[in-house]
Amino acid sequence: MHDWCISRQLWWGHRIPVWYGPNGEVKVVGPEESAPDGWTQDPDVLDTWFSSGQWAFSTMGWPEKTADLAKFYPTSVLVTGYDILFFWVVRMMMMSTFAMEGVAPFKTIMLHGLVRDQFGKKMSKSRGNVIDPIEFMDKYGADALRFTLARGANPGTDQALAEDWIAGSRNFATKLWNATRFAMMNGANVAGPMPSLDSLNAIDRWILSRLSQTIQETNDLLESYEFARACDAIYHFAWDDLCDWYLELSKETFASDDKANSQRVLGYVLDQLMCILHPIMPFITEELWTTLTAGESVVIAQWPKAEATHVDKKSETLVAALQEIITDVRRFRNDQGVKPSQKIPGRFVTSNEIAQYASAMSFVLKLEPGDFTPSASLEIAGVKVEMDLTGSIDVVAERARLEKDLAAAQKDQKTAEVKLGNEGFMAKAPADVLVEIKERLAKTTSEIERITAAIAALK
Amino acid sequence: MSRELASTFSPVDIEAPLYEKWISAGYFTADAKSSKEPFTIVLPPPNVTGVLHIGHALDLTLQDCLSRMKRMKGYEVLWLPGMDHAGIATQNVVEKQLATSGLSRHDLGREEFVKKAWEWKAESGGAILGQMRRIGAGVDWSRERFTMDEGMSKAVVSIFKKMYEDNLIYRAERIINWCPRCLTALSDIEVEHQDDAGEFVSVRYGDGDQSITVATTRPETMMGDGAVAVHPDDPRYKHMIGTEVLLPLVNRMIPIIADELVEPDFGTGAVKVTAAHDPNDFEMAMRHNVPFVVIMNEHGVMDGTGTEFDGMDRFEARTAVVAKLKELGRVVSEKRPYIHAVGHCSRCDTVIEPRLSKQWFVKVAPMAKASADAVRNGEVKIEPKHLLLDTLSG
Repeated sequence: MHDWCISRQLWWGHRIPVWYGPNGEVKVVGPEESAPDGWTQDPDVLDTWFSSGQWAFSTMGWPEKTADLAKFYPTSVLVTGYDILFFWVVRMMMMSTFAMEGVAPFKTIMLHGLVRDQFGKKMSKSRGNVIDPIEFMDKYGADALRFTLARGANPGTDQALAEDWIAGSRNFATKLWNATRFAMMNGANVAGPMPSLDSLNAIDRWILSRLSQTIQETNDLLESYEFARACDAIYHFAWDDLCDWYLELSKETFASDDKANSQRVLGYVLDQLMCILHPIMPFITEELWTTLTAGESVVIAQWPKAEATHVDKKSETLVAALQEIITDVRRFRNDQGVKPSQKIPGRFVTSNEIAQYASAMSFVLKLEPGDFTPSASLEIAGVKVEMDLTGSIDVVAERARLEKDLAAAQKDQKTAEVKLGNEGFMAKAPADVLVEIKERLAKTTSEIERITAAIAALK
Repeated sequence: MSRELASTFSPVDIEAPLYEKWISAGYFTADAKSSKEPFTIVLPPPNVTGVLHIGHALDLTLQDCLSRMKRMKGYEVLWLPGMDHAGIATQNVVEKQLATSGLSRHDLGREEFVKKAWEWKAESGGAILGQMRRIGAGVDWSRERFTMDEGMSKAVVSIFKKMYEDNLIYRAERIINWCPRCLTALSDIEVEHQDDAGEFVSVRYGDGDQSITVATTRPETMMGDGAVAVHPDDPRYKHMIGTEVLLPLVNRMIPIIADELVEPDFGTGAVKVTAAHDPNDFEMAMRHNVPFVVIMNEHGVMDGTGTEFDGMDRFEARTAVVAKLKELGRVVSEKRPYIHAVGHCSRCDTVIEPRLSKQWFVKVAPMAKASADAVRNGEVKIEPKHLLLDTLSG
């Protein structure tokens, strides 16, 4: 490292505190001193890094021994881009260890990367790919921008950013808003103590279990500066577990008279979710949390604790089975050409504990139990699902359609097999073409399986 | 429930009022007397001339995230904000403002100019602080600092004095990055290297047996040459080491010296040593006692060569010098365009002129050692660790 040139021939800055006497004397004049008459001050100013290099301690009152220095120095963490490591971080380290008797200015340095455009190119005016944070905050809100940036932030590596992703974060915020609104309209609350775990249904126990794990994960990831993974954990919990599954599976409960427990559980889950999301999306979480809890502010709320007793593998296994059944039946209905909103006769034939959740699933899947002769049946996760599609679709036409699809898929499969069996072709074909053909073969093979199953189920 | 959520989520309607609520509640004001464990972050101070760019937005998001989490965990959180006075950036802004009324800073004089800069700061500086509120940064505004506020100014003088007394600050004549337009030394970060289309000219110094051909991208500085350097083991030139050769145009005898750092494969393997106008040549000249010959003034205009080139701008002189050398039959070869990296002033894009001048320096080695030790012994944790250690020991 070269010695650091600290003088600048500028007028704006800290003037070098050196005075020259008439006979070539040189004197540094301290803050409480003054130069002898007739002496002249050095005309130069100091490099700005000379003062910003003192930022960690002079801002707290150095050289006085202040209460702030005693309490808050050294700082806990420095968060900055690796691009100014040399110019600023190193100068801060040097000047702080010098002034503060060897105590380094930070306990941890967390270096993040640069924000690049969606193609990984550096943003620059000449490329015209600069994202203006103000413009996007006006358009999508500060929370959406923050969530997008945090979701891309891993220690030491550059990240890409595109407007679409900020729009996606805005959709996430809207989802949270609507879900909380829906929850409150359905009586979600934080009043009184939580009901005992064994008085809860499996769906409530499951969401508490998932929440507990998400809290633990988010906490650990944020403590190790893994912002991106923390955002993912929260996002998947909020969007998939809570909105897509819990709220869907609980709709029947909320429509019934036996809902007090679930209302309290949902209130608790939202309360805790807003708390762990608050550091990343402070505004929307404040609005939702204060409305839900009537508390003063989530800023001063207590950081959630992962409740070990809430972890419940049994309910997780059960809900995983419900998810599998619902996903498969939805796909089947779709494959058969039944509209999602269309109610059809359907029932679950099972003797295991899933039977308890048959009506919750029927509610989600728009199945109406009753007396009917099934035209289709599926076997999923040990549960038989019987449905009558005769009133909803033209079975003959549907079978014809499926058989046509099957024939097309079989033809594709054959073509791919022939190509892969042709040694001459294999020897000459470029690698990416081969990969593509193999992928097509795998895809058509699974298509054939799916369509064959759908035809079988129509009987 | 005491209130209801609006039916649609509209961030612009909720964000600003919530931030004001947090500020007036004093949530972000740290208490030095608190018994809670402290958690401190100092905000890397943005330039007073700056506006929020996406890098700041990322910085602020991550710091805010950590400090909000720690506050919820029961720490006494201090996130200390402030701004940097941004020497050259601010000076240029104020100069531009003056230029609209046809004035330069020299018309005002130093004292008036500095007063103007403070006025500019009060009126237009710190736009970024409002933008920090916009993004929700929960900093302690009651502790906001400025690198030129009274307290920090005192601290700067104090530490300068302490370092001077500890022999960590000295004044010396060195080669520095100089902007002939801004008329100031620049730090390395203020220099941007670009690939420019220059020229690469081989010039014969001396005559007959006692001649040697040097290759250079800067023929105009040859009048400031103090020596020609070759590699000590180069068989082409070994016999000439220690002899002298005639420097054309100024007709001065200069020595041929040997230095390990000369690359025999680059150009002709012989290079001119222009100690006062090139940082590498400066180092070489220090090793071999080569004289420093200054041939340009602070504006980048040729000066003191005693030739017809005095008074010419450096680029004008480059063309004129090559033409003259051709006339004298001394140009052996020329390559044009010759693409090579050239430093430019990051503020005004002017080509940097390495310049010999008297400057103040901080002795880095002893200070860097203490910092590197703090990283090595684990007092400071850093990810990725090697980045910092490489910098401190480089």
